[in-house]
Amino acid sequence: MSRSGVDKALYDIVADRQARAGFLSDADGFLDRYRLSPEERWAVGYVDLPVLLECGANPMLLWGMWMTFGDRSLSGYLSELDGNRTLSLRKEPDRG
Amino acid sequence: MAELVGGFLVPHDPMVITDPHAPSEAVRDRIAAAYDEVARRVAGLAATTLIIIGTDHYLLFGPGCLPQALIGSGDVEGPLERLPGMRRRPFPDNKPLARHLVDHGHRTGIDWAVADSLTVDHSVAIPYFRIGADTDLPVIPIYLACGVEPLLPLPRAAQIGANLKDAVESWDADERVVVIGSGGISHWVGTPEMGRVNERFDRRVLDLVTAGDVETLVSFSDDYIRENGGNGGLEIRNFVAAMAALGPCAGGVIAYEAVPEWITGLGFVELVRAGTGDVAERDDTAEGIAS
Repeated sequence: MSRSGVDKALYDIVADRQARAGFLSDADGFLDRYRLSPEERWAVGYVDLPVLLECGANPMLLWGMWMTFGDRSLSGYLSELDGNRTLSLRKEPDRG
Repeated sequence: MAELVGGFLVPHDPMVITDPHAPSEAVRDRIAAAYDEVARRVAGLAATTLIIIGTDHYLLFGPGCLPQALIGSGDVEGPLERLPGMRRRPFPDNKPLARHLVDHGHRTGIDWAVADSLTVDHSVAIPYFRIGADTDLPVIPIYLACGVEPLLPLPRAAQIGANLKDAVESWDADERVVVIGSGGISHWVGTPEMGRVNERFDRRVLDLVTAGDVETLVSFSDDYIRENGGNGGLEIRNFVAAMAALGPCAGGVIAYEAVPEWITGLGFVELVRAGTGDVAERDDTAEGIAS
């Protein structure tokens, strides 16, 4: 478990436009920069919010991810956390 | 001589701006009226500088540096986020007083982090735009660690507030300073309970604020706050600091609304120093706002 690595990756995606562009264009290259377990790497790359919450990611960052990539609705976010994966940007990242 | 002439507690909920039509028109009107009433009272106090105590939401500060307490003591601008009607722009500042607050703290046990150039997020920008922007009041932004571990301990928030009071009162210039504690009461941000509002917790906090009971607020454990007020409720640290900055005080509730559509218990309070006897009189003007 490396919560700080998860938070760092999520923070960079949410707060740094250049990092976000890198994540979108080359997810594996982006994820290589962070100290993440295979499960965490998968969860960040796949933007798997329920798993990221279980990993101990700060919930404010998860909401930030939803505001960045989701439909920005509260109902959509809660549905996403409930396991109804609707985000369209998902790719299949290398598990590292 | 400088003095702290008043204090207020107000919310900084961005959904009031980003999703304005979510609650009923009556709720929207009461919230708008409450902000207007605070602005009117600040003007009535002839304030010359605002100190706004806000919360970082993992936007300004990342895992690389997480300050416990920070003052924007140089150039100030905001907001960091895109908020409808609040285009990013420089804010009037008060660098001499801000730097005095820093110096005083460093000499007397508060290890302020300092931002010599700061783009504030919504927790400072929204209160500023609503309360101080129309009159171009200089602002000194302060951030306390309310949202990201390690959290600022609540007793430390009270110490910081008391230190601010001493610092302002030791400033050898004519200033009338108003301090604003910025924060929602109960709200859950990004957790599966997001949208829940716990009016019982909110009323308890407001009752303690009204009584000026900093001691009991400071005794709340973080676990108790998280369970009853959510992770967002942890920002009552900003209330505690503002109350302590005034010294012994009483609070008058201007408005309170539990607004699940905006995910937050929204409270507006005026803090009045003990002995001035102004709260009851001013509360008459808020009739029709408080719910």
